[in-house]
Amino acid sequence: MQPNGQMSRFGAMKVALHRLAFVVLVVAAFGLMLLGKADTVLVARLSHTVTDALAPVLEVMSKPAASVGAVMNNIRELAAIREENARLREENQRLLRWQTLARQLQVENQRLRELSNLVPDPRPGYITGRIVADTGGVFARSLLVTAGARDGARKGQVVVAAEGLVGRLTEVGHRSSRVLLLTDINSRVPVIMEESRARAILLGTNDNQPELAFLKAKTGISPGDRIVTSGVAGAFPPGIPVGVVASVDEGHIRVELFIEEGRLELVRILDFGTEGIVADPGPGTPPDATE
Amino acid sequence: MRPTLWQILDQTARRLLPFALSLLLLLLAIAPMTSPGFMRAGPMVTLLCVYYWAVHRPDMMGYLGGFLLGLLEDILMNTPLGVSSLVLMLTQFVVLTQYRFFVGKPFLITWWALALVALGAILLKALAVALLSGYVVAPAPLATSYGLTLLLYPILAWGFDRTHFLLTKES
Repeated sequence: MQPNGQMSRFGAMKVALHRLAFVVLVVAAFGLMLLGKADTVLVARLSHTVTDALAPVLEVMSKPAASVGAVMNNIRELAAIREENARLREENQRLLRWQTLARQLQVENQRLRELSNLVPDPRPGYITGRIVADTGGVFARSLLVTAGARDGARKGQVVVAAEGLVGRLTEVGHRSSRVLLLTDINSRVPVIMEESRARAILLGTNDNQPELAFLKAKTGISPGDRIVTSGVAGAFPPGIPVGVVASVDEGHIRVELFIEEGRLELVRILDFGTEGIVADPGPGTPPDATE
Repeated sequence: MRPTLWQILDQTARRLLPFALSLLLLLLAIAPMTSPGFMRAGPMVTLLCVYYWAVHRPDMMGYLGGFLLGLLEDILMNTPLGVSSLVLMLTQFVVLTQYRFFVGKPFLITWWALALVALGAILLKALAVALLSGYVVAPAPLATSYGLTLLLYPILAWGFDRTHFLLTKES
């Protein structure tokens, strides 16, 4: 046993050290905030290093999570298998009619292209990445995928899933990258209404449904209208499906995306060979200084 | 008596366990679920971890633990660096200054106190994000996140109680 006085002195020192640690770390936190504003390159490098290091761990963890999700889906689907079957039969018939029409149109399109000597759009190369983290939340919305610089991913490349546009690469590490989702508050995508050809910008709001802004003519927009990328400014190739108008009310046009963010497993990262895409003009996004 | 190497290793592992568990929970929270997970609404998992250990065993997770956990959260979640660290450390600070209040209190009281602490934490975080990146988070997602955080606490606390029991069983 130690003498009582020594114990209390030791205790007091411990308390003082504890307080000092608190003050130092709070100052460090403020320092990090300033650093985040001042030196975006350094912060991006720190972020790459951490996500690269954690990517394998996240990948291992995402597999059981995916299997649990698959089992849950199976159970849910089993319950509704009859109705689903009937619905699919009906849809199949409808799609077969569409397929016939599409074939006719394809042939016609081909002929017209030949007649008018149209320059074809470049066909993109792509790499596929598995999603290992879905950091959808209140303050930011992004995904981490297992494809990085070593696989040919580059900052600014467009990310799509089978259903439509997912987002864009904003950070590319050695073996992992971050996809800024369309719903993130920093996301700005030039889009066009498929029917009326009216141009607009799709703004993320950190909510499930992004909004349309800078639309020239607001009349004539109704729920159900399809929206695709417009290719203005060269950041996105034209014609990638984005979503449909979900609701129109005074000044706010909300868009239901084709992709279901929480359900994505694999995404394709497209390489259109369009270099020098500028970073998002939105606040909080670091300028493209690493390349 | 000098502790043996095995004892030192054992002690270190015990001390690191709360932090390791919190890290694991943070990673689990962002693991992609193929079903529409409620995790997408963003319960503040790290806040719960930090709060639990500050209330029950402040010596097991110090300010450095809160700082590092917050830093990792900010990097993984793509929020401005330093914000989560600050929020988590302030949470620890508030709980530790009110230590007398928390000692030996039943679960319901700590849950109720969490409701206050988490409200302060989420508002502070929203304010810090607004100041640093210039956008204001809509109140509805904040409320959802807050509600989920509170709902998640009993489950998490139960798991941590078991861990805590194991940790103290032999030492």
